[in-house]
Amino acid sequence: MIALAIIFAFLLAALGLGLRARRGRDMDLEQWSVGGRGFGTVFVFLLLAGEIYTTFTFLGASGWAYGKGAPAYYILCYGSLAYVLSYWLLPAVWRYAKRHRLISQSDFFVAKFNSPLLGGLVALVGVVAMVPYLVLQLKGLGIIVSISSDGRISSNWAIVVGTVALTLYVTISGIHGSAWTSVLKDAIILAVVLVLGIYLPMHYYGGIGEMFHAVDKAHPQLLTLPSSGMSASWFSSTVLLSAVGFYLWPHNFSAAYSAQNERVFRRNAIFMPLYQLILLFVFFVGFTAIMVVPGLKGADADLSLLRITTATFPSWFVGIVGGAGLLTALVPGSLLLMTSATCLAKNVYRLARPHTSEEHIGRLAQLLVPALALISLYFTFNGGSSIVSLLLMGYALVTQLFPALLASLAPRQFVTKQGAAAGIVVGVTTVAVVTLSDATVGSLLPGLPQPVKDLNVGVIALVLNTVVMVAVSAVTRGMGPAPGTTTPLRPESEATAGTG
Amino acid sequence: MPPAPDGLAHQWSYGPAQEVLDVKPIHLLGAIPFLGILGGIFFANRVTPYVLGMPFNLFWLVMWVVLISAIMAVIYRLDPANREEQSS
Repeated sequence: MIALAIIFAFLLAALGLGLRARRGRDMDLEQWSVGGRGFGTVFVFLLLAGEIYTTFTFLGASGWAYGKGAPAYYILCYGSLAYVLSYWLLPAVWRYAKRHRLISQSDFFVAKFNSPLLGGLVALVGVVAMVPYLVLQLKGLGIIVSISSDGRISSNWAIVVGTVALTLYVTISGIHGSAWTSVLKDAIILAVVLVLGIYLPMHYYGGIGEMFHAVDKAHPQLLTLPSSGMSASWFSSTVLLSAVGFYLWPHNFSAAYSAQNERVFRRNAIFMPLYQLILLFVFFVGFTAIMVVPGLKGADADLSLLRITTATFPSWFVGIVGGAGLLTALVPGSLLLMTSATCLAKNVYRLARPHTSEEHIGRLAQLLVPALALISLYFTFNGGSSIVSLLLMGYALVTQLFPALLASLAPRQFVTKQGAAAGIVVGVTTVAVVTLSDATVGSLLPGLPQPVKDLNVGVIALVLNTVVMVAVSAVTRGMGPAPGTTTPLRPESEATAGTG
Repeated sequence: MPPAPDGLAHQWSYGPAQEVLDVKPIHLLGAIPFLGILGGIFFANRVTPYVLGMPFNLFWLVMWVVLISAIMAVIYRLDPANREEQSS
């Protein structure tokens, strides 16, 4: 019960910070979703870094280290490589977004390709990809609260309460709340992960090296990538796909809008990779748990970090760990919800009702938050995937926006709006079909050599996407307005441009 | 929201080159981590030797994460873009 009380205190603190951050600010859509574009290096760092330390890293990464071993290392790598890309990507995106006063990710595609319809498509892809991401945050919330309460609160009730808290939090405070809670969350998560990652291997094995030796002795296959399945080829393609997809998440993309200037990103590209190293300690926890709390199979591996915590520490400390976990679900969850709502209101609803006022869109976005939360709740109760597989699916979807984004940033814009749209549709369809039928590259094309079979299926979708994009662009070039002539994004012109 | 003619003039005075990816020779350093991680893992996928208590493959990846930070610091220092902005 002490543990639960502490977790509840964390929740109240987060809500309090959200309320406090709002005070004295006029909440129009630009304030609510991109913080008035006034965030400096530290805040952008925390927003983007805060996004990374989600339930996924906390429970998912330790769960994968526990259940799958070495393949979990991919989680350490893709973020760091994404930061390398961000050095070039984000300043270009930020400049354009600032000049055209963009708010959502789809606004970017609307303006660049001069096509509100393409924007609508991008918004839909983003929202669909975010559903599994939100679902995994909610699953995490459920796990945390039910384990910390010793099962007295069922996971389902915990998820419902968590969803209500999340919705309230987002509606009240928008992005300012996220940034402030990030400060609290990062401080606590850093402390908790370091304590667990160092203390647990020391306590049970006498050191990290000893722990790895013992694990290797008991499970000789676990610490290397297997020669088929999650092989080195799977590893490389998955790291690349996730690194490329990282900033394509609508919430990451538009969190970049909130920066004060573009140097913020270049400087962050130096420090963010080091911050990734916290993951190392999360792995240590997962590996230590293998022989301390054995027997968690499949999606239950996600419980390993909390099980070993409750098996080792007094109740009050479990409460702190649970509270930290609650924040890792709340901060990214709120960003996800807010971004999906803004995308739907601005870029999908407005396609149907072009003359809706900015104010009305803002209100609609806030109303969509609970609706989206309910949809995610539904999927949370109706799916059995582990946290990491949910995220991999979202990544494969969202990465399909990358070819069009890259093309739009090229010096001469070759790709047309039709090309971009066709590529995205083909890519997303490929991912959906393959994921739903549980196929792998190997089962689709059995004759290929093993390394090709093991490629992440998102990579195949990406290749098809690019081919279609280029082919359709070649055909449709010369139709419609010349590519590259962009109009400033204004509600009046946005509705009519590109439809003629 | 700026009035439309103002917005357009603003756009043209900067020119379209403002929005493109700005790649200079020094930036090619940024390709090294990709080689080290995506290519290197094929060769580094071993448990032994242990380094700093970690299996070799884990150590290899951790080393690259640290190197990425160093490489990005070098790029940041040498990139003229970061100096130009400071003066403005």
